[in-house]
Amino acid sequence: MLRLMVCLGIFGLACPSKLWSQERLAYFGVPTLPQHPAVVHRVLIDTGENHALGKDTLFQVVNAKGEPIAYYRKILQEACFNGQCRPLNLQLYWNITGRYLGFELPSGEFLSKTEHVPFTANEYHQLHKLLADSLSPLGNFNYLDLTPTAARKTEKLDGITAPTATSVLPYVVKGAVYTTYVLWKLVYGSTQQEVQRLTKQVLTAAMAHDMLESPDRSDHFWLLNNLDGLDSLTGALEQQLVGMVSDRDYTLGERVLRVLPNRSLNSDTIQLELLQQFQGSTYSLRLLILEKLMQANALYPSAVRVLTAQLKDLNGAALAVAFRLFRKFRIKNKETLTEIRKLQHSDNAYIASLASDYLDDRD
Amino acid sequence: MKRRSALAKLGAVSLGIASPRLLRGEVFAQPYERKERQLETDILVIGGGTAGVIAAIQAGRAGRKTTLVENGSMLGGTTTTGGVNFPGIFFAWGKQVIGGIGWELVQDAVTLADGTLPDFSVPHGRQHWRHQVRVNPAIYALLAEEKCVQAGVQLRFYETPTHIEATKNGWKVVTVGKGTQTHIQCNQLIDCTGNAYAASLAGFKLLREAETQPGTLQFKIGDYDYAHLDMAMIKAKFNEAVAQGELVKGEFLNVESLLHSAGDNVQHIAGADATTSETHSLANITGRASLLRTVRFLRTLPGLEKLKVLDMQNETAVRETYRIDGLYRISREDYVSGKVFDDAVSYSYYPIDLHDANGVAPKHLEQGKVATVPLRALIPKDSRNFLVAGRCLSSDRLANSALRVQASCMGMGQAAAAAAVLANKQGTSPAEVPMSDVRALLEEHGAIVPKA
Repeated sequence: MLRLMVCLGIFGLACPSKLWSQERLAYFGVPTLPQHPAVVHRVLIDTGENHALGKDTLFQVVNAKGEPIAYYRKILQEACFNGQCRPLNLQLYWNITGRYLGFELPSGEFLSKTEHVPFTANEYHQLHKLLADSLSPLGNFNYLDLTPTAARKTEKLDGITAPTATSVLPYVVKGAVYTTYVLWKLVYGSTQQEVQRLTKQVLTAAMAHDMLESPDRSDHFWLLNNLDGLDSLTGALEQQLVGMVSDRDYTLGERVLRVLPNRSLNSDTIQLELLQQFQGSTYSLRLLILEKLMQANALYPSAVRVLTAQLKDLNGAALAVAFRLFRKFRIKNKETLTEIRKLQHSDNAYIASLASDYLDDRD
Repeated sequence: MKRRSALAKLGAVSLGIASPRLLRGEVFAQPYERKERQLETDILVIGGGTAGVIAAIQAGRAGRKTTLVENGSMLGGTTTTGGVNFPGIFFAWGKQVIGGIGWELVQDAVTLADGTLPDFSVPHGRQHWRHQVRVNPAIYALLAEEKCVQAGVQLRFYETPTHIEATKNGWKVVTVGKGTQTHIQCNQLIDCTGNAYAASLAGFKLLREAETQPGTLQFKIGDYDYAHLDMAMIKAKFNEAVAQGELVKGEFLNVESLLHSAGDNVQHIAGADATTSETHSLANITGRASLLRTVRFLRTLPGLEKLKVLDMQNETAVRETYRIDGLYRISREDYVSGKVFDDAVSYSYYPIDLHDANGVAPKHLEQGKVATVPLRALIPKDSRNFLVAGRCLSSDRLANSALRVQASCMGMGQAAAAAAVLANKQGTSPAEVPMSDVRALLEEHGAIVPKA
């Protein structure tokens, strides 16, 4: 969701109160966590950017629970226009997962294009959208790519009055190629990693639980990719994660199964939840669920019962993995063996062979 | 010394000189005799590449006696020996479209290499490679073989068919290999050679373009610092060398790309054809000579003096050779419009991707479009008990440029096997098997079957 904010408080605490008397331009996307700021921490960071100093302050906005809810940097940098330079003065915001969140201009400031013509509302909106595109080809361009070779020979390193390379045009605000480029590079530069590092440092199970409520699925991915930052998972978080294993989103389900700690499997509730998801899943996820259960220390009797009841409907690899699972945990109960003996008489030679092998191994 | 005893001694000495001295444990072996074998199988799959592996596993898991003949030393074809270890696209517009055994193999290979999958829900835009999954070719080959063996597939490496003739109840196929000649009687034959080679031996008509897409020898180069290269100078020198004939025009269209990606899928070998030993030998020799020539040239340039070849595939991978004249020929229009055939057995999702002397400019499918493969495109005209799977399916050139990619070939392999299995069970020919049965079998084994 994109919206024009006229500095009405989402990051109010981050704004010095004396500036509230005037309207300011701000564009924000949807944050992971609700924005109820309580305090702002200053973090000195090495930006790695080509400044004389290289150091800057990253502001961490924190809620009353002490959880970070957003980050921002005050950008004061020169952008050169037609051989003349003027400061680029704005605040760039990052979500707690490192994705771009928005920008805000100090009171009285505006962004401008060629010949200092101010951005229109549409162009601010466009800039916001361009900055939100983490996969933008701008990431592959370097400064010299912004203008065609012929124009470069004039020594005007000015992406505004010099013609813009046609390959760059779709990814920049017309007339503000350099501004777009510089801001995009700032958004996806070293600050992004710093933001993620800081969030991971303070990640808790409760925060993870809340993050999974985010409407932006990239936040779910971020959490899954950083789940190893948690010392332990609560039962509620484990169930929330298992609930995400569904055909609605294969990639998310696959990632959950990959990162769910094996220790979480030592619970009959989680094993049953996984088998519940198994029943409604596609073949691809089914195989992953069974492979995941292979990592448990034991297969609970309740889980064995559920899987035994499924045997007659399984085929191919799913059946083979189910047998491997039973073999690993030496399942020899009467009900399971009865079901397997039935499969021994299948008219599918492959299934009959799997069943016979299992029964032979048991002996 | 008497004359007779002297001659006898001389003879003994001569024998001693003429005979090699045997070391302890050595014996003289009898000359090797070519072994003649007689085999019977329900399903014979010829070609253990992308489609053939999947077809064999499917047939084996469906309980049929299955034999797979492969003329190389390991399974996987383009993905492994060819080194194209990014086997196409399995998801389209946020949904999985190719699943089943092919995806199972990819998924297992990714897991065993601790890899991560791309987020398929994020549209790839014009950069379809964002949805490509890189697999470790060695792991892929190992898994493919394990799954074949577990499915009861009899693997016959180093063999190639020399004779195929129809019998009353299927096919008689003669193969030769290292020291073997094998007579295989099968009920259903699936040609997964990629070149319709078995179809040709069986007497079916083939189609071929006057000019086929180039092949590629995959390799890795290194030992240079890309970030500090004077690319403008390198490009100028490279183009100059091409203009002067020192390098072959068209083999490497973009030296920047070659250096940026440090090799990979960047070379074009015109006319590369994998159909026979002779044509594939030529493609290999041309591909390797091209690489050597280019490496020698690059090492003369500043910043590249230490450039080395770090790895190279065993053979030049091939994009296009022959196609069958099938019961239905998939057209470009069918492909780009996402036509769903009544007998659609699998999906295919890839840009129209025709490589030629000018490079390649993929033409992406429109939003929401996913092509389908009808069973008829896998069946040669006037055939019985015969199917193909893979890039040699019946299609026009532009449709084929998308259909040829591995994920689609995997889907076809599984579908062809399902049809062959059912034909075998029902005592009929693949074209006569009810589609509902094909669909049911495929879905039981995880394949995704388009719904009309």
